[in-house]
Amino acid sequence: MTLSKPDPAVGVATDSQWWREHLQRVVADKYGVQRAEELGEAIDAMGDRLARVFAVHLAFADDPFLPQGQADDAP
Amino acid sequence: MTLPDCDRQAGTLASVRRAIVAGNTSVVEVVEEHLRRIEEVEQALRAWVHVDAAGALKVARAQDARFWAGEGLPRLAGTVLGVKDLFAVAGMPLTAGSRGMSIANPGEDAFIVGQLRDAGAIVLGMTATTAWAGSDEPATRNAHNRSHTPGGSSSGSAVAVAARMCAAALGTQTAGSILRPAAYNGVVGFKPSFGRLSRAGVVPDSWSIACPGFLTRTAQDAALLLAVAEQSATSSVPRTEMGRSRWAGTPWQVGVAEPLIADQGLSGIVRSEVRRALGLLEQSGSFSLKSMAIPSDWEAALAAHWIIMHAEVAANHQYLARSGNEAYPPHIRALVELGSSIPATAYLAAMKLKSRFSTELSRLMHPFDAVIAPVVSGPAPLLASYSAEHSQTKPQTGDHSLQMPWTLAGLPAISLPMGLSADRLPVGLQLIGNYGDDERLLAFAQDVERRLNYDYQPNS
Repeated sequence: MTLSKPDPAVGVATDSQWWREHLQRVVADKYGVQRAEELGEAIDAMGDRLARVFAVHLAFADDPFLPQGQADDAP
Repeated sequence: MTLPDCDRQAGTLASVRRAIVAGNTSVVEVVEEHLRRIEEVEQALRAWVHVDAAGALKVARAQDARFWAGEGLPRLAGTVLGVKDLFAVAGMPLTAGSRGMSIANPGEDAFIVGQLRDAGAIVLGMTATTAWAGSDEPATRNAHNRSHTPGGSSSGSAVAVAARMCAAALGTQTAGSILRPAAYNGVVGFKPSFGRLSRAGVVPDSWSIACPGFLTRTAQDAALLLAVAEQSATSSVPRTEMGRSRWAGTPWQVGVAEPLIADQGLSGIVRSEVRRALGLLEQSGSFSLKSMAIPSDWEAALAAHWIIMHAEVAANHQYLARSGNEAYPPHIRALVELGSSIPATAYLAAMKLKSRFSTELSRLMHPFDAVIAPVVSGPAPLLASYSAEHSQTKPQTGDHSLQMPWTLAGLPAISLPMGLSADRLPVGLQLIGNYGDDERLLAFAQDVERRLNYDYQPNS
């Protein structure tokens, strides 16, 4: 499925930089600014992963994901 | 009796039991032989966190006495077992590699340990894992070269089997913690279908993905241990009731994950060894090889795996991690801190992607009995302590990426040793089965193993 009209929320969720900054803030709040800086590289990598997962998730937003009859919690 | 150290097939669990039945050795002699190996090499390899020599010999004497009294031998008599320091074993310390933090001194065995002991396996001790089964530098050293990583997190289990300090060992896998150390140390690593083996009595990790499994010398041994250790008939895994016999006389239908073999990130030695293995199989006439595509969401599945693993591990550890104590070295501490900062919406999106990816992968694999792929991108890398290029904050147990997607999908997978690099580090081959099709995968693996004929043992 292709989203016909860009949704601002979609733009945020698929933006690596947005996620990096978000994580930086959350980690700083929880563990301190210094710790957030120390984790900079790991935070950057996780920001990329979050954006990548949301890109797939939102591209299939109206997809039931699984064939009918298959348990949704199957591994 | 001297344990066979040059012939892997002759040293199977079944053959050791046959030697005991034939009167060529005793259970006590088998245990003593492994204890001698520990004396010879353990100081250098550090594969164990606890060895219970007296307890193992006591069980061995009792088995010998019952056998000599005509009571027969249990199915796993002579199976000297190492247990990863994540499983509860009654009377042995459990630390989860946490460097000084004793979680418990369990009063009862984890379910799998109990199943194996009931069948006659003798637990020799607890094998080392990385801290909380993460990717920090292991205390254990590679059985083939001590300056290289043994892989992880089932580091001690893989090295103990490779160095013949035990015949088989228990491990767990969330990313690649069984198959990768198996490949790096030249032994067999088997992870069953998700849900096939009970996790009762195992320190929790990532509940949507983590799976117990085995490190052994042969695929036949892994098949035997699976048959004994599986949980009761209440298991929810849909099981195919077929073994190799159903297809006897017809070639195995094999998918070759060609995009992964052609990937530029793969080292030359791994690519050439995988190609050599495929050539051997094709020449035999028993394998029909066809290229198989991988799902287009492959990279996104890797990302989903990281998110799920971080979030679930953090949920298990966040209270402990706040203390920032010695029990949390740099990598696992960062994993918990990052995992506890991931929003629930991202975790749920990753879980949905996991379902979607698993379905697509199953569709691609369906025509095949099994799939062949590289298990690691290269031989075991140098540990940070031995390399100026590596940082302690980077993962110290090697590259997860070729094991993760299959693990995410809950599929059974096995790593077989198949060759050596120029500097004599082992290289493995990964075989993956359809979900619930563990027996067929193991039968296939035994056939592949015969063609590869890998027989190299470390000198350590």
